[in-house]
Amino acid sequence: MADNFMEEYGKETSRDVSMRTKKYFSDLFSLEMPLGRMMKMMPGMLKFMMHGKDTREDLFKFMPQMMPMMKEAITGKKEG
Amino acid sequence: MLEQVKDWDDDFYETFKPIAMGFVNEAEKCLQCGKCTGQCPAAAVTPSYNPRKIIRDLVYGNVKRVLSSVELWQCFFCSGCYSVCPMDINFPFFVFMFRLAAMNEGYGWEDVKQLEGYAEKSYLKDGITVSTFERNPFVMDNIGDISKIRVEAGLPPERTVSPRGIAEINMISDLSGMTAFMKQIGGVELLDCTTCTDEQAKRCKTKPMPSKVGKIKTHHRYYNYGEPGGKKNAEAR
Amino acid sequence: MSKKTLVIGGGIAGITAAQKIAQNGGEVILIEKEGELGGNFAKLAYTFPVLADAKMIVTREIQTAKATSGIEILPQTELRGVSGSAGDFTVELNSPSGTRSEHVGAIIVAAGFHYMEPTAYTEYSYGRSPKVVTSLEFEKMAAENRLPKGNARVVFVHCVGSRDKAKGYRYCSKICCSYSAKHAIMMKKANPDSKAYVFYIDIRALGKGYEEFIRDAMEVYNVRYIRGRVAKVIESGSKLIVRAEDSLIGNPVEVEADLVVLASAMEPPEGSRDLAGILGIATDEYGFFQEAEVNVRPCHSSKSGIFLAGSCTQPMEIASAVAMGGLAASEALTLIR
Repeated sequence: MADNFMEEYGKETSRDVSMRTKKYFSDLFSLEMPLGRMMKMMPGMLKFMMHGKDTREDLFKFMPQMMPMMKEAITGKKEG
Repeated sequence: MLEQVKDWDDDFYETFKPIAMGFVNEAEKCLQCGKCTGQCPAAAVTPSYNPRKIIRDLVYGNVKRVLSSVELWQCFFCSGCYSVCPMDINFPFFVFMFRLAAMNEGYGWEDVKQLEGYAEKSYLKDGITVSTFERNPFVMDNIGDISKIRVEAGLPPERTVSPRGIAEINMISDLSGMTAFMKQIGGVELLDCTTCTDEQAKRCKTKPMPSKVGKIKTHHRYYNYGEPGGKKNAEAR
Repeated sequence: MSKKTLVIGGGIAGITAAQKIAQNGGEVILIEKEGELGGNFAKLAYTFPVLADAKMIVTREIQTAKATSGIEILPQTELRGVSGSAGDFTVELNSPSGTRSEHVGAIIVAAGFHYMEPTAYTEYSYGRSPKVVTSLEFEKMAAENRLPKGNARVVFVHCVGSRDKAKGYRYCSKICCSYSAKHAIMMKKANPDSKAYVFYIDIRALGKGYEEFIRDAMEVYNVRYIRGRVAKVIESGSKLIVRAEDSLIGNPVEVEADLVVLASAMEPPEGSRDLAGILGIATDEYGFFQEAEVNVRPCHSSKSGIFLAGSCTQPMEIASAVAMGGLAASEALTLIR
């Protein structure tokens, strides 16, 4: 077991760690919508839709706003 | 121990700021005046915890020390430091961001795991973060039974969230990825650097946080900002 | 052709400017908002970095000004309007006895400064506890011999309103380090049993004798300097609890104090922007009057014929204000003779 954090990281410098950190956050805060991410969201929306009549209507109100995003996810192309 | 300045990532803060969506702003304005630490209730009991030092390390790019520290996990988000800061630095936001970063590095999972019960079991099921069954003895002694007070105020004895509200909470949790995150925490098997074998240690170095549910190695954290104090640490080891 | 000069403000800079013009044959109208001359200087008990009797010095200067022929002193008078240009201004002066109009060749603005009221600092209990006072109130307490007696602890807090973007100003008020040291020494002299603690961020005491003055406070008078901005002051029984970080050690500390003195910032004089509007000169982002050129023309305002002197341009100690008053006087003399 290492004695302090510098030994723990060994030859890795703060630059290496910061690169990893920045990559992690740029993925986390990314506004892109790949298909995989879209599919992960579907169960939640489905559950909400199935809950009742009012929730279904509520969700459909947002459909026009969601369509470009869905298109983008399926085709993989960003619209103008 | 002697630190090498060339080991720091000089432009970490400047490059991180645009990525962090405004969560780590204004740190470059820090005067190192110590007003944050002076008013900090956590620092008053754990002297090694020091917001001023953490801000300094972030701006100067000593990322290794921040992420591997125990101190990063001692903030409890009272935001007192933000309210007194002469430069309007929102330090609790920094803590929030760098705890995520530390988890990405494999630190601090043991602390987050404790919250799993509240989030997954209480919040997603009832829509309430703090379980109504949990009775704080201090509150019971000093203020009384909360359900009685609620009834007197004309409210139902227990907090309730409508089924629609719970459905909405679940959807938001799914959409934002919180459900997946909580599952991930649930799947964490805590290993400890003090007990793991060389083979495990080698694997954990090369593998950052797994994207799927599975074992997460939690690294041993260090008191990077001073001695924690207390009887246990009174003698040199 | 000799014309009069209008000097706005009867503080030490204004008095000096008026004296110098009159001693060189010019005529001066010196107007002062308050009933008495002396300005902020007259509110002090001692000067720094040499502990001299401030009342004595300022009275002497006022007497000299009153005795010099060619100076007309108008207390309780304010400027209401200005027209004309350099060498030929018409000014309108308003006093309780009525309004009068005068022709002047030059105007010297020596409006002084104002000590900020730290009411925004709720964490320092100012206004809630009578034991939390500003430095100006401390001067008054010292003059009236009301300083804490016996084994009392007194805490001095630097940078209240200065170097504070959130509740005050971004600039450094320059003199607080020195006058807090002066107050600590005054405290120790008045009551040698007392303990004085000064909480600082950086010590900024520049100039001849200043560093020695601060070191004397530490070395001769045993004033304890702790690096860290005070975070909160809580009233607890008959005491005040002062919480801060000793940032050289990295540990939070608590002081049980009997008196807390807040070194409040120097801010622009009240109504400085209105005055600048009447005169037609520029102010900076804080409300101090803007000089034409920082280094070589410190006393020229943005309008020719109007000169600046003293701490209405920037936070300033007495010696600089006097020097600037003299410079403004010589600039005015070139215009009116």
